[in-house]
Amino acid sequence: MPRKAKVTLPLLEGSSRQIAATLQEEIRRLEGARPISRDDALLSAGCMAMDQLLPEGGLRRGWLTEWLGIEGGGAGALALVAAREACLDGGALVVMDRERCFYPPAAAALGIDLEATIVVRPQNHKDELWALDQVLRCRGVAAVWARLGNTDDRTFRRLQLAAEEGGVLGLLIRPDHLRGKPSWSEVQFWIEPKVVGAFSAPSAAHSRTDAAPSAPARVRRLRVEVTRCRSGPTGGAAEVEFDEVTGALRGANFHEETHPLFVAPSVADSTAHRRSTTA
Amino acid sequence: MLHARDVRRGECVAVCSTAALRRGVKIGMPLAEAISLLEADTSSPAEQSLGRKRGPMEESGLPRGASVNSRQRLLSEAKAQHALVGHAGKRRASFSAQNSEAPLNASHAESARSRKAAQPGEAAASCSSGASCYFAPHQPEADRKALLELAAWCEQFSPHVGLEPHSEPQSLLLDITGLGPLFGGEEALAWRVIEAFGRRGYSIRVAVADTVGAAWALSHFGADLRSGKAADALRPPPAGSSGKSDILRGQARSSSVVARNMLPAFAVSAPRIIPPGQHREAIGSLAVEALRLPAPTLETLHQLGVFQIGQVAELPRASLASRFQHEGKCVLIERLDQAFGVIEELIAPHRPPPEFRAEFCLEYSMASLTGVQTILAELFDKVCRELASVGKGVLRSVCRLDCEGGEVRKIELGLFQPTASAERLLELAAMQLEQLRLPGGVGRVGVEVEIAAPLTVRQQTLFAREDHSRPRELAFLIDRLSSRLGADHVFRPRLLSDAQPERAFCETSLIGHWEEKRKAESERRKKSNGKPHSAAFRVRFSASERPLRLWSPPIAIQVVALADGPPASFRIGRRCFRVHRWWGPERIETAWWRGRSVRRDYYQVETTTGARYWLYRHLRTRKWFLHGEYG
Repeated sequence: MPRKAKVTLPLLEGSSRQIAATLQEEIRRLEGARPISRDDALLSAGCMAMDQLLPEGGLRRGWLTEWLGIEGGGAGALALVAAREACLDGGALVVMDRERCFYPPAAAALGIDLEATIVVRPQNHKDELWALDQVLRCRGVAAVWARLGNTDDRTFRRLQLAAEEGGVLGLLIRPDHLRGKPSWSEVQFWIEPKVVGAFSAPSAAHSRTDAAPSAPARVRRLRVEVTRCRSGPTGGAAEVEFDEVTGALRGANFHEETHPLFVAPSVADSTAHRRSTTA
Repeated sequence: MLHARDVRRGECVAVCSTAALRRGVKIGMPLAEAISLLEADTSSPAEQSLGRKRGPMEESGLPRGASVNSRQRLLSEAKAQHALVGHAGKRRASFSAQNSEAPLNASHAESARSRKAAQPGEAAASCSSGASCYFAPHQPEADRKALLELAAWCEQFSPHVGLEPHSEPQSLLLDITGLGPLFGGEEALAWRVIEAFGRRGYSIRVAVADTVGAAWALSHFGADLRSGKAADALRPPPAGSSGKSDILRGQARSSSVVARNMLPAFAVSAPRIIPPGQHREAIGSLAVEALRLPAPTLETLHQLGVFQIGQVAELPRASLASRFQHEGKCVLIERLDQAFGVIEELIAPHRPPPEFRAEFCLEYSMASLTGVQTILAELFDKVCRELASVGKGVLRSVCRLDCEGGEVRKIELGLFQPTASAERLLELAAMQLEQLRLPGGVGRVGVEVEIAAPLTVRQQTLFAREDHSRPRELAFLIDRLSSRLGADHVFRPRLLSDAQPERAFCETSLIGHWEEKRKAESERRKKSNGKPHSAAFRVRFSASERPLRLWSPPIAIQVVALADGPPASFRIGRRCFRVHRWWGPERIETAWWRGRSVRRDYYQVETTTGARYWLYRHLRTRKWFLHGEYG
């Protein structure tokens, strides 16, 4: 009869929470992830619903994250909200815009401070990768937001190492057909827009003004699923939606959240009261 | 023919060729009237026999009715684009340049292309009757920019190059005092200039005289020597000239012959060189227009029967001062004295001389980039030490590489923050040097500091904290990105108050504007009473009203929609989408003051897959366009 191999488990002391943290760190070390520095504060991904999907409750600087979705599906907007959170402590946001279609007024409406935003327009893919590498290595940058198509593993790994070295949060918006492909990112989100309401063909009977009570609300609901996470479980999903006026992101079941609401000062009024948390 | 927009009369003729003037076209005439004049005129048999050869002008989007040869003839008779006025006693060279192969200036080609993209068929439609004519919008700023570029390029002939003192300069002035012997004589220098411009596609008129006024007059109003007589009219070089001048003469002769063969209908003018002290007699027979006088003065002179400069010189000066007053002074006497050398007329350099500069001349030309980099390191070190001694740093700098054959290559360095670090400058220059292709060996390397600014004082701390290095690292990053990608490709966006979506923001360069940034920052601090600038700002739209991606230009799409109603489905390329929800229309009507007004009805649509797009219907053409997507 073959002998059974002896497995010696390390002696773990402390409370169950401490033991879980130690085991988590061990797993991360075995997976080759960068050790968590106590100076790296957690960054919100935009709202509590999304933060709860992540094993540590948020994003960290030096992470390369992917945001996959269809064209016009909201992946870019969600990533920009995460970039906004990363730049709250005064760092710069770099937008890589090779296609020359980044629209700053829309970004400003989502809460991006354009004074701290630098737009880079490389003319070809080679320059784009070089610029991305340089930006990810710069400690003066808080986050970089870029649309990246097909990239080979070697380049992706180089970008990941650059992000770890520079401590920059990389937000890469990628096309939907890359879902399921190998990746070097720390976290990969799959964003799927949810169609709200029954389909009805537009008719000329609709009023020309949008202010009519029958006009559909511009609620934009998205389903976010974590399809890859190096330091935690995957498969978690949540539904979030954008406030159509303020652009704030909240969980679809927002009445259960106590996340502070971002309100643009042009809309905010000192006498306004907070929305009731009960439905 | 170049046209410009007049507020009251619409598009009017700004510049036109002599051929157009002969057909009755006048400066300031409405463009439509000028076109009808040209169309009504019967073309000459010579022009009708010209072949329809497809040339560079046609490829730039010009009317297909005109042939290359007729265009060249039109350009050859066009108003002089540039004139190099040289003189001195001081000897200055004067020449006028006409672009023989390319369009009138670079801006016209670009405007022709852009016009073709924006309004297809319009350029062709304007000459539907087949008249041999070329139209382009007059862009004085683009002309000036092109002229400044030529002025900088002409520094290889003279260190003092200036533009003609005019609101719309068309001439270049060179001071060639004492430079004749370096080039084998003034005539050799003049031919060398003609050759060099000929290689760039310009045909120029050169005049050398003692005064700016005399040289300008000769270059613009001197007798033209056409191609058939140019070679014969060449004067032999002065006796006792060196072998070098013989080589130059030979080259000059060959270049003139080549030019003649390439452009059979084009004039190659020999340089007009007036011996020292004889300019008064040389310009006496020229028309009074050569004195650069205002129109009322010219009209008065013609009424008095005075048509030549010599006649003006014979008039009593006392009566001239009282009779010819323009804006409080007698311009006639001033111009006369300038032309005859009684009053000295200075040439204002086209750019201020750099305060900090260093140069290294090589005995033998060098083609190795490593060697050039080593020389640049020494030059940067020297310049930075000079700057650091006065507490300044480099904000914008130019490295100049003089290559064989007179070619000059420049490396422009712009920085986000002033620096006196030679290593940093060398790093940025090396990045551009890698991508530079040198036409030959480098004979001289020069570094000039165009803009210097005071260095920011940073107190050193005992324990270096990471926070202090972040802004500096960001500045380094901006410098590196701008150096490799170009200063225009790295910018900060700024919102503008404009209803037209594509004009609702502008790009603010980050390079070389350190002083402006500091002033803007201090003004902002004053307005906010010292409070830190918050992340909040005023936006005109909510988050759901504008797309995150805006395509420029908008993409034409096929839409199925009810009449004046919202879209029901649309096709982008081969993909079809059905509209699930829509919002709008948002009508935008604006920009009527910029020419063609923008009138669009915008719809935000959500497809059955949940994707959101921003479409608009063009109210005039009723066509649909995809302008953005809410990515």
